[in-house]
Amino acid sequence: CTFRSNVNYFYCLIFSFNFLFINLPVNPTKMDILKLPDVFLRDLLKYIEIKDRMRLRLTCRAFEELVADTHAGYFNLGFFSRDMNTSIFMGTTRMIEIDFSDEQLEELIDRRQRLYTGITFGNFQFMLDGKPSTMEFLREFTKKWKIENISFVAHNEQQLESSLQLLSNFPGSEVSLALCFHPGTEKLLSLQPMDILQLYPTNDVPRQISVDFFFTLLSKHKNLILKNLSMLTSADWKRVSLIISEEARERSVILLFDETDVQTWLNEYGFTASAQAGDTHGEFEIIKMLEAPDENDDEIELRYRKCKIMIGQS
Amino acid sequence: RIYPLMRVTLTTSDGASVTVSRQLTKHSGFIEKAITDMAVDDNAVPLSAVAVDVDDATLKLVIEWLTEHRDDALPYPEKTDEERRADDIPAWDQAFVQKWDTKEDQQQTLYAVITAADKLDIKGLLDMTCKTLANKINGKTVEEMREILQLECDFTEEELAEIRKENAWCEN
Repeated sequence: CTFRSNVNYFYCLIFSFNFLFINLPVNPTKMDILKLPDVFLRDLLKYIEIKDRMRLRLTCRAFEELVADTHAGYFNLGFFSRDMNTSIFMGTTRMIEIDFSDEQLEELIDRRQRLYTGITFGNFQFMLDGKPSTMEFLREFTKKWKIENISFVAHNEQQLESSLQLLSNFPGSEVSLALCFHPGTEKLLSLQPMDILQLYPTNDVPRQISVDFFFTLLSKHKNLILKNLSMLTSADWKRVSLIISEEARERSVILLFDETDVQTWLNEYGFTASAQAGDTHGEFEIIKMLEAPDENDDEIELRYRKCKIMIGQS
Repeated sequence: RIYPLMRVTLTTSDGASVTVSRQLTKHSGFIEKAITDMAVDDNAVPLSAVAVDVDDATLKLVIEWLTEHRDDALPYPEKTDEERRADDIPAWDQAFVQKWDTKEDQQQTLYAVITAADKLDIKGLLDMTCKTLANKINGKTVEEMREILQLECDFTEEELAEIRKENAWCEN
């Protein structure tokens, strides 16, 4: 009897333990953002703005390290200018207080390393001053940068040289160069092929670009924006249209002329003031005649084979 | 070819079984690979159960999301090196995330769904949850970020001052 009683008691205990085990609420393990998959956290940080990355650094040690160890992602726009004031925009965030001293350069490089391992810009424009200190700063500071379309604006030879030097940091980028002065034929010929070459001298004494030189530039650079081009004949105009038309890639040429030159070409091709959409002369066809309230704003759209020609006021 | 009526049974990490259409599981790289590894004819019904390392409650949420997104195009588009937009989350997905009870639970549920999406290799869900979390963080103060992400500050006052000084090179 005693034995049976002990056995029952024993069973009873086991049953009770099981009962307790089954009915205890499961203590849920609190999930921690830092335990999320590494690939997810790296992706997440690519959606975070620069200024928010900075704030994240202040949350805790783990996030400070994560920010330093991740790519900042892709920003469509960036801008650098050193003129009266220095401005660097990375997306919507502006860097401030740069004095370009060696000491500060070292400090900024260190701070950059704590903010990202790399950054990509869709478009970044540089307006350089040609000073060695600016160049030294930018060469170092932009080392972890990838820029898809890089553009430079140069007002003098020194700025052009600086632009070309910095360009060597971005071998895979598409390049746009806006020259606000005429650097001379030799220099222009030595330029690498550009995505956009803009030659728009702003000085008082314009230097004409010969037609032959224009065609040399056209054969080298994808898109051109030119001012002070010697007058093109109607045959030259046709030649330009033919070159553009026969290209498989999309190209554009923007030429700034006197209105009288344009009227001369149109007349030579048989288009008069009464021309209308649909009129054709040779292989030129008028696609649109847009009449604005002010006749100076009128626009004409022509087509020559696959080339579209827009004529309007700049 | 996946037959819409084909179903697959999933066994969860907490012992539950859920049977779902292959129309849904085709969005999960993990489940599709498991089925492929079984080397069965697509016409074979029923398939063996697939064990997933996700609890029942989370799997139900994942299935709810998959049901809404069953007709999404596959394969999921690869991420290109372009500007990441986090403001394009579909309205249904936003409501799906917002309905998760209290603030703390919402964050815990979000983390559980993120982990499940990663384990099951559901790229669309992972991307949506990534954007959701980014939207919660962007534009917030440091204190708000700590609260949202449930982080404890483990810096000393001196260290915080130093980081603030470092951050001063950018306009806030």
